[in-house]
Amino acid sequence: MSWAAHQFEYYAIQGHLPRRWLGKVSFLGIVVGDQTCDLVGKVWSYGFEIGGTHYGPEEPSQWHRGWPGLGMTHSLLWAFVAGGITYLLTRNRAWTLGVGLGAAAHAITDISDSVGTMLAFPFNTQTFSYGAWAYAATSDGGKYLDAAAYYSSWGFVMDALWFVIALTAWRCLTHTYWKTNVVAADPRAWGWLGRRLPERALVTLYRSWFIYATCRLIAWTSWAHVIEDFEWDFTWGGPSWIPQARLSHPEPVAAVVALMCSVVVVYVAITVLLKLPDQAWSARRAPVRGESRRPSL
Amino acid sequence: MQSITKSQGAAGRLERAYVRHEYAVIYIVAGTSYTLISMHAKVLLNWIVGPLWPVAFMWWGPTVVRRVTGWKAPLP
Repeated sequence: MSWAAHQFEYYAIQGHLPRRWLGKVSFLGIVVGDQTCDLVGKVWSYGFEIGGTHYGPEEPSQWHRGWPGLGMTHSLLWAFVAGGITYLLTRNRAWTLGVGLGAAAHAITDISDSVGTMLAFPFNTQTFSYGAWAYAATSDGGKYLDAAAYYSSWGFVMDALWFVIALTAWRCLTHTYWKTNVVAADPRAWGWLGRRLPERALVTLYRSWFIYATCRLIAWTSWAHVIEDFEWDFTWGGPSWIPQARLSHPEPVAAVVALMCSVVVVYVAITVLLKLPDQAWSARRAPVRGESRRPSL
Repeated sequence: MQSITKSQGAAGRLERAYVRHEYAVIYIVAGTSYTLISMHAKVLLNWIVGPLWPVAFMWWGPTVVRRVTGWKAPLP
């Protein structure tokens, strides 16, 4: 699994959106969509203890990424399901596209560890993985050992890489960009927030996942190597000091092909959805009485 | 008299510098405090507290700074 990489990818996606998509995909939708993948299954993957008894799945990786299990939450199908549910609830194009894009990005990023994701579910229940680091969520070690393993291996490099990718689009973190592209794509949600928070808090909310991810990267790495004394190990599939969970043998070539196919599917789907006429999205959504269509920013 | 003018001038410069970089100052304070505290209280390292931490600092921080220092600069 990936840690801070998931937060950095919000900005990497937002900052590198194709020009034709700018102002049409909700940033908050990307955040929510990305979170939906782990929202249901992740807490139970680690489990918890009450009165000395551990509650949680026997095989966390099977539960989290496999089938039978909640592995479908890390597939392209899930991106379409999450986007579809969002459409039914909101009839909002920007949110539908954002949630779908965020969920797809999460599933694609998570192919990097030793377990990988079922990108092609339900057509294929194989997990695609290039096994760069060990999926280390175990019923004994819990979240902290998983964090230590991740931040001692290529997982750390993955987070740092996404940090750099997000920074290559640093303009998307500016106040002007937020106002002209992010708020413009999602005026209702930002307008609702704008009636409750001052603008300085709103723009900080937009940047907050980047700040959180940076702090998270530093804090977990410092904890693992300064406070504790976990060993760095950049061998492929490492660290070697922890058992590596697997659902199938990692095949990097197949994983890269699946990744590229997934990117194409997502790109085509969003392009097609953006070509639908505006009436298709908003026809059934009557405005709430007294509700302003313009943000109060 | 001269020293009072000097200190007012230094305070004014400090206020102007702070206001010019207010977002950066508050983000650095928020980020540093969150990182240092959460390294020891790892329960804070979650996706609810983490993003809300800088928002809270930016929401209330500028008001607190103006109350404590007596600066009259408008809020950002």
